Amino acid sequence: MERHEMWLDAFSDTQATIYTFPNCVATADLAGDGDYRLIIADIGTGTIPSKLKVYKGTGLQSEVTLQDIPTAVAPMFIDNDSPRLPVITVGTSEYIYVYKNLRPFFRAVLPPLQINSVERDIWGQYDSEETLFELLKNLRSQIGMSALTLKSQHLLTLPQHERHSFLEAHKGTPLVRKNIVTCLSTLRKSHNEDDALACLVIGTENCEIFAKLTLSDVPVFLSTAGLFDIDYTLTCTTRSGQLLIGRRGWVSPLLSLSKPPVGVVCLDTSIIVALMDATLNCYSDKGCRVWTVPVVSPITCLYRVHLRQRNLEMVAVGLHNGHVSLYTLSGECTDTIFFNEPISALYFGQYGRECSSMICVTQGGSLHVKILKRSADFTPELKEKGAGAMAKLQIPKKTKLFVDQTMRERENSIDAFRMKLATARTLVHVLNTKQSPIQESVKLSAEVLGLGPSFVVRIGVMNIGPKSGAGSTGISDLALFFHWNDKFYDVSPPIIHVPFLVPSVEVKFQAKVESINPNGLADVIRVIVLRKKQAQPILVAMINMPPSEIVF
Amino acid sequence: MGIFDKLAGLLGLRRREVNVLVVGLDNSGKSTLLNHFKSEDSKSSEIVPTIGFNVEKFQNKNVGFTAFDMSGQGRYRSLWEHYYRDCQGIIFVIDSSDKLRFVVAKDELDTLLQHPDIANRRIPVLFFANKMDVKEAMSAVKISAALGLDRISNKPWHICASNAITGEGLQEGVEWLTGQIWEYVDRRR
Repeated sequence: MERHEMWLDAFSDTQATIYTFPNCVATADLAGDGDYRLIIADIGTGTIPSKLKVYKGTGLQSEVTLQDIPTAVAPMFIDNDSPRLPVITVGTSEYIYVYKNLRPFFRAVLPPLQINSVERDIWGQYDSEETLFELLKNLRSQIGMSALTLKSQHLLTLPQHERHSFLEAHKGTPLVRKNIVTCLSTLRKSHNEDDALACLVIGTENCEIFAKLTLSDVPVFLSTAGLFDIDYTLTCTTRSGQLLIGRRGWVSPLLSLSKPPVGVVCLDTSIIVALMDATLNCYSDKGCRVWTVPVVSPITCLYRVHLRQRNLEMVAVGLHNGHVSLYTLSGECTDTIFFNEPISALYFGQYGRECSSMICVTQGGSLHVKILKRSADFTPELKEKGAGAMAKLQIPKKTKLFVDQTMRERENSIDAFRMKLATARTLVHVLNTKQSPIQESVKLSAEVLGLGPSFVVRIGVMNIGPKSGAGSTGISDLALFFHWNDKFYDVSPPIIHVPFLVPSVEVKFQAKVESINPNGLADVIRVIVLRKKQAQPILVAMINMPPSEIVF
Repeated sequence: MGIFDKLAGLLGLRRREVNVLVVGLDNSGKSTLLNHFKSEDSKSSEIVPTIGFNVEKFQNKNVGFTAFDMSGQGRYRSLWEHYYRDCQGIIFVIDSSDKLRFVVAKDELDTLLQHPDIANRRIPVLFFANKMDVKEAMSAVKISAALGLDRISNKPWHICASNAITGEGLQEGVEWLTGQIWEYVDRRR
């Protein structure tokens, strides 16, 4: 079967020299003219500084030099001004830079962290380099490297002959523990629209997520869904391979991944995680694994592909061998795009005026833009499945347990079959005598009329089985039976015979209830639906009676 | 065709009504282009993205054009093919500054030309390389190369650079189309 090419090659630049990470690519309508620009935070090479690059159409529009290596970019709307212009937020070390109209707008600093008091004392009172070094080393073994200040960390890594000059050079510098941004994400505040106000979700090296959540480990990938003011879910994976799920005000570890994660995508009810062992895993929001799909090469990046017009959700997976594969949420590969270099970053969204563009940056620094064809068809590749069925099945070796069990079955074959027969007989017996209530699809509704002491209870019975077709059957031989406390009520008639029930037609019955309690106290009346000549009730409903008026 | 017809045609007595389809990607300037042909008092001062399609009428040299101004947005492009059957001419508008989406325009054009209602008819296709005033605009020659227009063998086509806001180039294109439609209609008699 010949497959149509689904993607149009809109633009490729192999000389773009972009070196970036998956979180550093985004698009936004920066000029407010409907022409989305591509924003790439380029980490640069050793000689070229980090830059924020903005592409318009097929050309570079502008560049802004960044102060430090960026960790993530996130365009978002922070005001309600018109025309609606988004700002670009860039997370670099401890700062969040905000650019508006491609000019630095402001800079936010993450609050510095508290310094361990012991460490402060050591630095304040040391007399010789050796003791300082030894004390810091002891402290490190107690509280861990990451809890020390930058200066101590630096000193501990130096060889002995460089320590002296380091201490001389940094004599006066104060002790600080910077908080470093590790990942960024945005969360819309109260409206789920493209240009709605958003707030920033920041994951830091100090195992925290702003909006004020403390984690047990350093977050590395962050993905959000929902609205900040109403309800939101954030999913993050940590460096040690934990998958955490957070909602308003709390965060809890969902599960531990078997391998370190390389990407996470948070969807409404499921979470898709790419792991380092070249598998793509889907978990439900309760933490159960739904599926695992192995891919041909190590995964480098993962991005959510949302086709709004077709209401289709997929994930794009960038691989080390230069393939970009699209997977549906049921784990089927629908398409693969081939590039000749390892993929370093992927993005899918509106670029220019085209709302389904795939932007792909390879490790060699080239930039590719692909546009999804209008006629693209994402039905899963059936061919692949057929090939899989033909392949030889991998049968595991026979274990000792298996062999023992086979032996036992062979020796005691008669007993084993007798047991099976007995089981089957018991099952048939259970089915014949005590039919489970699920088999009868009867719906019961009840309402209480009146103020008391005389009430009327009106009960509707409906057969909710299929209206037509093979499974459609009527129900007969039913009866309604009332069960009540005779200190409170008197019900007549106590039993009602239900006629033949046709599917989807409600039959109403009435029963008179007289309250005989002098204080008008209320009680519960049970309505039991019975099949005639069968002890087990089909359905039981409780009617909470209202307190009765008292007759003087 | 009889001598009277020819005479009537020359004297401007004969009138023709033709349907033309105006297609192209969104934001390429189809509505702006047609707005230029409207009479002074019915011109709209502000052009908004078309939803579905609009019908405009204008005249050129005894030919009354009924132009179907189709919306170019992705979700409405599937509407185009429903009008292929009843049209006698196609105007394809291209935003010459939107280099990124030439491939999309080419894809849409190929789909159009391969459609069974179009493929076997010798229907004239007029291309407007619109927005020629924009700085990054590509020339008409480059666009015809990018769209692979030289491969169109069974249909008369013409490309002209235009500026729908000022009206530059529009008259030239429509005159060509009028001439082609006369030829097309006459041949079918």
